[in-house]
Amino acid sequence: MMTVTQETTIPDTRYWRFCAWMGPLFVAVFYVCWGLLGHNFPPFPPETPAAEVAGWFRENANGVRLGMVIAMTFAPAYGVWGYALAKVLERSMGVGSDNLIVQLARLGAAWTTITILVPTSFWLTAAFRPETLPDWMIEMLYDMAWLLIDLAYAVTSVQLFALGIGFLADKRSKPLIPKWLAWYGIWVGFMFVLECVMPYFRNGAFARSGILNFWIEFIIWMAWVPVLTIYAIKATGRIERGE
Amino acid sequence: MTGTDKPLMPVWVIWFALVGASVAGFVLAEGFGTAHAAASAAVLLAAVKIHLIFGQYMEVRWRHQPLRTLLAAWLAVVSLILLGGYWLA
Amino acid sequence: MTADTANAPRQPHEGHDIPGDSGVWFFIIADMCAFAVFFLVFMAGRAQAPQVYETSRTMLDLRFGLANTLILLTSGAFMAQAAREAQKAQWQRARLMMIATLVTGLPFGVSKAMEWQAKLAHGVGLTTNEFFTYYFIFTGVHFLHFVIGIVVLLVLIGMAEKPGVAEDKRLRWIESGGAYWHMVDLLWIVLFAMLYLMRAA
Repeated sequence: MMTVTQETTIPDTRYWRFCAWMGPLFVAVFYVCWGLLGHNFPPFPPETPAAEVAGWFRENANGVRLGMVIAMTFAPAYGVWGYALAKVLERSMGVGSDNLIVQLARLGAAWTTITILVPTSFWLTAAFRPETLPDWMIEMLYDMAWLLIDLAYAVTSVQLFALGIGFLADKRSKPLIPKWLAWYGIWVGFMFVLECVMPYFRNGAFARSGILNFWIEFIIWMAWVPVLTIYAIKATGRIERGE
Repeated sequence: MTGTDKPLMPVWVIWFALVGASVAGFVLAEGFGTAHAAASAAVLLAAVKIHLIFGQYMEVRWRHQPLRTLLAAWLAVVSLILLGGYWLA
Repeated sequence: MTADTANAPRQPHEGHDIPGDSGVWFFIIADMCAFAVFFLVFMAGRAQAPQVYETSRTMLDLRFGLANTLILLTSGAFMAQAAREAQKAQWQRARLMMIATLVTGLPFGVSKAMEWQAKLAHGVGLTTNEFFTYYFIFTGVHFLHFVIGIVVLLVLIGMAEKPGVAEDKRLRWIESGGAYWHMVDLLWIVLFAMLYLMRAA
């Protein structure tokens, strides 16, 4: 028998929706600031000469600084979003906030925030005083940031798997979050494993700029955020109505 | 809705067909026939095997639309990728 | 479901539209699409360097490829039979068929390990050339799917006769797990053709 606690106070629910919208906001800001201003969407291919990467940083230092500063400021939005989803997850599973799966969903979101903050600081470092840094050092900072942001995939997989497992445990005849979306998240979590071969390649599909390890991996993750947000907001309404 | 699907064939009959097609593809790859004919046949045999698996093992029948169409589309695209990529090389 | 209806002969997939769970099918289709991208990437690479790819292809042992194919086809046959037994609520027979699926499927892992070991022993690895990059990565990812399939089989074998699990749920799980296992099989069929059989002139 499932016991569902009901949150009926309006402020509580409003915060759920507000926090849920932090997800799509994060994606939009991240794309513009980290992606476009930071020359990360797509990134420089690994075989790009160091002089070219360094030259770009010297010419666009202010743009990179602005992009990374805003990206770092909005990185916590991903964590906030993750916590909002965890509230819906509690209702899906009919459990309290101390449930292990719910905690892992929150933890995965929090870890992901860190793994966004740290590499963006490396890109920012490359743009802080690029005129005094040798080309190879700027290239190394760029590489280091990419190696971390890509190979930290597993922390996000923890969030994806926890949410997927939890949403699949929903016993409602019409689940709060549809099963296909839960499975999609689990699939994305597994797909991230391909990043493991990224350090071995300077070109081709598996390089950091390749069709598989950049385009597909980033797009399937970024697409998941707004879609899940819409369902989470609809679910909030259902929870308010006691469903 | 159920009128158009024929009964499933016995599993061992399908198995024989799949094994036979696999051996045929292997023999062709080992050197029989021209390379182009052998490679094309290998792809077509693979497509036939997968079509059999969809219908007889996974039991996705014609009444199970749109899943059946989705799987057929995947098979067509993959076959085109293999054949097209081969012939364009 | 009453005892009468539980034991009555049922139509396949009675009560639901497709065999298995629709969410699992979503996962299966998504995975098949990912592999379709792998196939596209490989064939695009092959079109640009057909000689390198052909020379590399001839370094593969087709007998391993055929053996792997026959292993998975046989294992798949047992899984298909398991689903048919489950549809007739013959849970003991379904469980036996799934055990046979597992036993006949496990040699794939051994065969793959032997094949990779043989390549590595000859100095052929992930970064030897583009063909072998794709060979190791795609067969490696496929192998991960195989391992997951083994785990799924073990779970299904454990629950096939478990009291307290509703029969329609048991059937749906077995059909879903079976669909996943057949996906592992059919993806190998494509890999076998693409990596081993498509010889150039």
